[in-house]
Amino acid sequence: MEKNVLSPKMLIRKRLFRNKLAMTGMFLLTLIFLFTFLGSILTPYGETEVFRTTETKEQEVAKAECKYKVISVNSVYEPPSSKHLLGTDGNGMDILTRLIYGGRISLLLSISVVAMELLIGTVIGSIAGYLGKWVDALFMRFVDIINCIPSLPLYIILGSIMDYYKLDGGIRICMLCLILGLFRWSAVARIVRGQILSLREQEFIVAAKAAGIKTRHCIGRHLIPNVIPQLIIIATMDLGNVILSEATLSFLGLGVKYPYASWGNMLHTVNNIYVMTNYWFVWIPAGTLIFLTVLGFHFVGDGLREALDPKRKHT
Amino acid sequence: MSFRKKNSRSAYLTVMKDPDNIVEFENVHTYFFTDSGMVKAMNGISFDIPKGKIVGIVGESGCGKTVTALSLFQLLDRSEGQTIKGQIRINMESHAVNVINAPAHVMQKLRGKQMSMIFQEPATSLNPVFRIGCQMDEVIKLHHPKMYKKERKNRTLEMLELVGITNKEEVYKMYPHELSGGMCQRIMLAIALVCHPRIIVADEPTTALDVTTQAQILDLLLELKNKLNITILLITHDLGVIAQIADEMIVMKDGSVVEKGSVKEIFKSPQHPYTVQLMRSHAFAEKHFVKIGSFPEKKDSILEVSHLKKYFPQRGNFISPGKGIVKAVDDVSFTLKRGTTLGLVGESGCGKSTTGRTILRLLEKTDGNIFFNGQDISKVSAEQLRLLRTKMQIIFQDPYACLSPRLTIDEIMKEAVREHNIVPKIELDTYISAMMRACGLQESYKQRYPHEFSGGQRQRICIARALALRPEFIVCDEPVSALDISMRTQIINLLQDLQEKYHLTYLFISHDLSVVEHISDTVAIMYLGSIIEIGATEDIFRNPLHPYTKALFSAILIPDPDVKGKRIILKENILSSSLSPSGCKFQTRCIKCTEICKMKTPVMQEIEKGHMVCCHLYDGK
Amino acid sequence: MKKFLFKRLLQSFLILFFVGLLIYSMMRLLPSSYVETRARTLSQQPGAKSYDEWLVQLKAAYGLEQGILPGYLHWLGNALQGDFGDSWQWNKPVITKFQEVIGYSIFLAATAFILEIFLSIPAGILAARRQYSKLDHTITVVALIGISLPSFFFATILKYLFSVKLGWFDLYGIVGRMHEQYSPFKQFLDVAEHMLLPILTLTITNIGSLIRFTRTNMLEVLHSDFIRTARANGLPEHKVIYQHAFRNTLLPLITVLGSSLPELFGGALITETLFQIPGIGYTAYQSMVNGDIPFSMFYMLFLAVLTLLGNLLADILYAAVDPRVQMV
Repeated sequence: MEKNVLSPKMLIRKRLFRNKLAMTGMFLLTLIFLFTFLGSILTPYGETEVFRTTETKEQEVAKAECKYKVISVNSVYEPPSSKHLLGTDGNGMDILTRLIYGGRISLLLSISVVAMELLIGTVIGSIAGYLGKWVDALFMRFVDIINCIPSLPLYIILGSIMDYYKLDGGIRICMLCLILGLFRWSAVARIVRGQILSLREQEFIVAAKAAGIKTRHCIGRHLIPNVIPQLIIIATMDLGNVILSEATLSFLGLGVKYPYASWGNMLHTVNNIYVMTNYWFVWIPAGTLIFLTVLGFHFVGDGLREALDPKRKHT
Repeated sequence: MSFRKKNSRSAYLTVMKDPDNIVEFENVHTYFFTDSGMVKAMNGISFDIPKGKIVGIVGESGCGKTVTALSLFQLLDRSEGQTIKGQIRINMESHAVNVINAPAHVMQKLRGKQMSMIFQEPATSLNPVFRIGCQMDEVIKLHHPKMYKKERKNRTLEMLELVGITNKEEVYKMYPHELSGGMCQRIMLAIALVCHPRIIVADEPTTALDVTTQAQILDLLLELKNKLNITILLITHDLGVIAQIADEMIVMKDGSVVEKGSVKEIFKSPQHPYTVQLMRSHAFAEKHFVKIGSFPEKKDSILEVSHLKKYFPQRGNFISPGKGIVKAVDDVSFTLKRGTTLGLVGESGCGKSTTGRTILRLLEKTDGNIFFNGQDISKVSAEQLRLLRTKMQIIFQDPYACLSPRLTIDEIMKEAVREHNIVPKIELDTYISAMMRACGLQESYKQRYPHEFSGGQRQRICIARALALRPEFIVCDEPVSALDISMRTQIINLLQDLQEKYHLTYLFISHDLSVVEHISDTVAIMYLGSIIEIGATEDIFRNPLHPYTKALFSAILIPDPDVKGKRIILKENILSSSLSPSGCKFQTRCIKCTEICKMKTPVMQEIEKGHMVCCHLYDGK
Repeated sequence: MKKFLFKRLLQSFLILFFVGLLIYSMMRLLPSSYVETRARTLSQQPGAKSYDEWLVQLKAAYGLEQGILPGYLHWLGNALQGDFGDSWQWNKPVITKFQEVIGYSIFLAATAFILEIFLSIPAGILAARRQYSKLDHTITVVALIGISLPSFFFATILKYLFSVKLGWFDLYGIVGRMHEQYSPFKQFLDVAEHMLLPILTLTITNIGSLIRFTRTNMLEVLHSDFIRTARANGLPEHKVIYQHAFRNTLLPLITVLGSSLPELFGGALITETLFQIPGIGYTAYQSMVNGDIPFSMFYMLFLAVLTLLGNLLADILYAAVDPRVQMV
């Protein structure tokens, strides 16, 4: 039996590619990313372009030989046609275009929030875990307090505050990003701290210390690279979870607001029963996209977890 | 690789080739699935286990002996491996059963009743949430459904007594975590015997236990074989175990049987070269080696430890934080002369590893002084300590755990050298190569990762890494305990060569007396945190004074079936936590314990030149 | 045991104090218009005092004139006596409104909780027993779908399918149109029927993580030494799984179930709002978006208490089930 010389990274990559679920997830995500980021090249419409009824109506009226003049109005709730592949929404905007731009906002928001929570969480968690004693104790109490505060009500209250102050849409998105990031880092920090605590006693760290390696080199070169696999899993799963949180908030009308599009706020219209029943194209595509994107992230995250598990039995 | 149809009775009912055998293995092939493809764990294994004998399978790790045992029970996980060829027959008097083809319900009836097994780690082999009595009762109920509760309890208590547990009523109600390793293994044995099986398989039953406990368990096995006439299949890597209690032996290497026969014959004249090599590697205990090589009488002391203490707060949990302290190192003092080796011996939990790490200040001492090269290192600043570390290094027990799995060998070796600027940057590569060569490693290993190497090679890498910092003093913390027998000789020889070449001083920590005898100039025996005897190696081995030392020595298993040592049996250490009674720490287990031992702690007294002991038996001599 | 409980309760109170302070500080940052609106509403009632008078009275009552810390202590003082103030949204004491609505939420949460346990734990165990088989993959996919499904989307789909297209259930509300005319038993059935879709939503969205957790834990236990011993002793597979393995899986499971307590109530907010079930979640939602400070504070604190209680319960149960943990 010949021994293949595989570095740890290659082993993981090999295991990941054999996982069908993970591959399906990656495929889904690639499609969605392409759709949202390149789709704007395909669609001729702008994000907030509003459409109005056109000459066809005028012609119809003329044919009927009425004395009425046609007043141009927003072409709302038009069913899917060759001009608008998914129809128009309640404001007369093209749904497909809104989906593309909305997706972009949702994904970018998610990436920023996850980056923020990982950065803050890792730094604080590593310091608490490595230094231990009173630093750690203080940190744990702080995390306990943050964990007790219920997140959804908090977001709702902050959202309605932003409503009151009538913040501009763009600023709202930034604020949302900040709020989500600042609230989520404690969970990451807790996991990183746990990992560091268990790694700290492992022999190769003691060996590094025994060889006289400086503390910061110990943390940076030995501890953190061994925490990174866990972080990758957390990042992937959280990318999905943040999209869900943002969608929930936008759905409630407290997140991304008009005129900006977001998959969540496109679903906001279902509160009107008439719209929900008759205009399926307004809400079903948006909801399905949220679902598929989050599912994709979770599939990949699950595959990563299996691939990085040191106790795996066979491929 | 197809599944066999396990339905028809004819598929698994058969006859034995020789009715005097309990189990027959015939041409068994087993495959395993691994990341790197299919591995053949059993390659045409054939052997017989005669009735009423103890048969030992010996070989190094990875040779397939555990797989062989598990395949008798058909306990191999289907996702792990599969037996594809051959027969394993078990004798049921009127017929025989081929377990490879037997369906699950047939196997289930056999296991526990006709054949039972005990494993290597007794503490984790028992369910932690059920009481001992409950676990034993369950097995009896399973195979004797008509027995009443009272009868079952009696049978359980009977078994506990049989395996030498004196306080059986108490133990019946206890949980596994409350008992020591030795006790747990006895209980495993009791569970194995409870249905009077035809054969007991013991997979490395004593490897995880202390030397003295090991001796007791092996004696117990022998006694049971003589009393109940059961057959035992014993799996081990230790030839000493085989020599002492086995009748027949089978030597395995890489999934194949290389030699088999009676123990006496094979030890007298081993045929296969691998067997010969194995025998040679075990030869430490035979040689009462006197270290050749003169060293000057007057040497300076490189290390002076005086009244070192390291106490830990007792570990509790989140519900009840522990009270009290564990005195891991309790007033340890010794002097180490440059260029020599001090062997620190004791069983697990005696504090020898903690002593080594406290000396290096990897753990902070509770009290005492440590003088290295005349300087009190407990008082230096953190930065000074960091720089001093190049002079005092450590080699760990588990060579895999101490190498960062994500770095190449080259990076691992260069890291510390660069940190301390041992050599200028230009010379770094050549220096590393020289160090690797000195430790028997090829230069091509530089770009590889730790997981690609064997245990012995990894230990060489650890030694090379320590050596590259140009140390004067190295703490060797059980450096060969985790390695195979043949590797041990090589690593010990390497350490000795390096000591001569680079004039190193060693603190050699081990529980293996034969290894310690080979490499040390002086030996210190530790028990529960204190040194109870210290002196030159020859003095201690020729004339052990302390009762504990004597018991330890008597427990060494000589790999010679003709020499059956007379063992000193110590009283069992019943509970898993160690208490610190007043007076001598050894009083609860010592057979020579007197009244004064219970009241006053003995002090260190010099009996002959350089040979000191801490025991009331030698008061005023 | 007593010492442990005492220590934990003390810790919990301390944490609650700081949590309350944080929440109160945030509330104080709310624009003052909420108070002003309230004053205006109150002053518009027939025979009421003037707006300015109400403003002064409200500010005094809620300690809004003082700094944040004194204001908090004032609020805390009242709260410890059971007085959480009057809800501005609902025009009655907070406690009274709470008592009215909590019943529905408890019913919803309890039913969903029981359903979740009975569905997810067997599924997780099954997946672990047959690791890498088709069944395992299917269960894993179902679990992942459950985690990924947005609750509001799923609820809307259910409404679309069952209420609009099939017409089996009402779209909103807790009771039907004819509720007043039913016998008590039929009234109960009516309420239950309206709870069906919300319970389904809650269950499906929470089931995923529990399945995965059970599966992971079970896998770890199944590879332990003592399971190998149990098999080697000839125990039939079902006893190995359901007696030996399951008992050990129970330990971490209890911790997770304990901490899912606040989730059940907090997460139900969306579901209740969508189906307009008048439980604590929907009530709180309306309060929060309309700036009802007293009720919002109470709700947040309620959830914080649930979190701490859940953790405490989990720890106690853990100690009761695991003999290695001693409650001295």
